[in-house]
Amino acid sequence: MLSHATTRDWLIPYADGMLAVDERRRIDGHIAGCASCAAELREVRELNLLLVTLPPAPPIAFAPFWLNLQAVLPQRRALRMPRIQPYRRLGIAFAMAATAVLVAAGSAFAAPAALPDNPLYPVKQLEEGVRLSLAPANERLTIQLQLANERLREAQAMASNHKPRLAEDSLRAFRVVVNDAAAGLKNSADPKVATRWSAKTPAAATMISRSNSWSKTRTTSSIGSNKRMRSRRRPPW
Amino acid sequence: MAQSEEVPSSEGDAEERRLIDRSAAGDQEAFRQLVLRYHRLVINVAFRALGEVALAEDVAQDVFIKVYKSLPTYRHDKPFKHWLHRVAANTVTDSLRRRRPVVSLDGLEQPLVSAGSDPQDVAARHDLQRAVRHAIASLPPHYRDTIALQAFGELSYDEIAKALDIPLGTVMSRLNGAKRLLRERLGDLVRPAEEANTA
Repeated sequence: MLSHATTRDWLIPYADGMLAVDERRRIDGHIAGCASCAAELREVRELNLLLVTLPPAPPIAFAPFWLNLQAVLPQRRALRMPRIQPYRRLGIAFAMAATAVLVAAGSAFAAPAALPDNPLYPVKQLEEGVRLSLAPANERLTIQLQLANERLREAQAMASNHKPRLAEDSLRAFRVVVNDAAAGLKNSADPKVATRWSAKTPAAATMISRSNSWSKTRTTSSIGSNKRMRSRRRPPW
Repeated sequence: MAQSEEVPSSEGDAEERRLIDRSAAGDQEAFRQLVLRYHRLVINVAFRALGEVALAEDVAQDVFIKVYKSLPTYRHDKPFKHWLHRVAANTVTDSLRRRRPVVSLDGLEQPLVSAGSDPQDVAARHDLQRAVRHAIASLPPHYRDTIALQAFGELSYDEIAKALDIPLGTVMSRLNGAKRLLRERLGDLVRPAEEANTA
């Protein structure tokens, strides 16, 4: 015969119908002769009755429930990236690389005409630097002269556009290029180049002196005065 | 209104799997169909736990939002229904714990009354049910989650074991412990009427 303690341990699965037939018989046998365990079993059944008689919900319409739910569903999933097969990833990478090359090429074509206030201007500077560094020695001075002219053109355009600070930057760059060119001329071993360049340096020297005087005028007058800049149709070089 | 809670056939399983995968990818129409299948089940669990329709609808909504957010992590290695039961049981017991008990257990010394239409009987039965809900909510978490699946979800021992990923023996042990505590806390409320009267 089962003890009180064992019977009590098994009363709940017994009441839930979870015991095997022989186990049930042993519990039945104990309860038949034990008022205390029989009373406890009645309490367990009463509790089970309470638990299973918690009522189900009354009918609830689906449509309003869904509309309320849909209104608060997070939207982020709709933006999830779809799963991509490996071969498609390769294709996408290739397409992105091709796009980058096209953008770079487009920038390179557009950059030579860019002025200092243009976002592509750094590309232009980079391209000029590469061109100068890759140029053979006998063409270097020619390129420097072209760059000096380009800086002057930019300064003129910036002054016309009422951007004195950028105009000054262009003039400063012009002087740097001309000074570099003059230093290169002194050291040049090629007499042809020296002759060709020396024919142009007076013009460059004139430009430098004019740009210097224009800069001085700007710094002594009211630099930030847009009215004054507007009245100046052309820079004085 | 089609409201099937069970989809036992393999075709039904495949369809449910498709709905789950599409919902996980953000397809709200697929999720609507999934909610249509299970909203009755979830609202029933919530209502049994909370006893108020409006509150049950709010909690059921929370359950489905959690499900929608968690679907990408759901694996098909266990039935969706069991997983849903687990989410629902956790959400309703959390909600039950957050609510203040309206009726003190000490004030409920009346024995279980028989079901009837007498207004006094109805009121007493409602109080009793409320006391049971709050007694469940006050249990330690491992007992509470297990008994909630049985009392609110109406799951069998075997289904509880699958929903919680625990052995059947553990379910028996937890339900045993949970019901012992409930009997202690509910006191005379679980004592049969004739015994309570003679006590």
